[in-house]
Amino acid sequence: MKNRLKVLRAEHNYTQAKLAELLDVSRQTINAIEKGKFDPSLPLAFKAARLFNLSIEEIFQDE
Amino acid sequence: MNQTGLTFKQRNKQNTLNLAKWTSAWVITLAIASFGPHFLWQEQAIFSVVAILINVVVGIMMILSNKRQLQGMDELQQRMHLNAMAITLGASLVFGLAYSVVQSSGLISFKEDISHLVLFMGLTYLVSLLMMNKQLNDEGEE
Repeated sequence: MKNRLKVLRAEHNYTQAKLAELLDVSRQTINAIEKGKFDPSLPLAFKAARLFNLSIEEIFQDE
Repeated sequence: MNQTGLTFKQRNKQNTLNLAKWTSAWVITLAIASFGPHFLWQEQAIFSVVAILINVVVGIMMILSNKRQLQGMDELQQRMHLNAMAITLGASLVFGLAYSVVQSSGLISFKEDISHLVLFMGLTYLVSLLMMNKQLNDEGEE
């Protein structure tokens, strides 16, 4: 699954640590999602969508 | 932050510290139950029974604390620990039974102990986690 998390994070001027804190996960998880090594669960995807005020599909795309 | 009012990092740290406390307590009570009969209470059975009961109760607290720590992790960490547990369980079963067959056929004469199995499981778990961490990690923040 592809995602725009890194781009969105940069647009909002968040560090990985800050985004991890906002999503209540570890920085390692943010890093793994950004690199496409880990696909988040639906609740975490919803949380990210709410944070950036976007729909899930605008952040995560099926490859 | 969740309903506990703690951040993920704080909650994780608190759970890890809690687990460390119960694990230390369990190790100490196990040592007392093991060495007490000989060095502390001269083989009196009642003291041995009490020491073992205390060890089991503290052990149950350690298990609950471990469960709490796992539940407090995020989904990636939980998945990594689940994989490490699966590898540990499988390796213990496969190598444990293979060793048993080799020993019963008389090919080796090494005297095994339950502590060897515990050591094997601990090392397998640790190596599995380290390898998964290495795979995922962590070329730093970008």
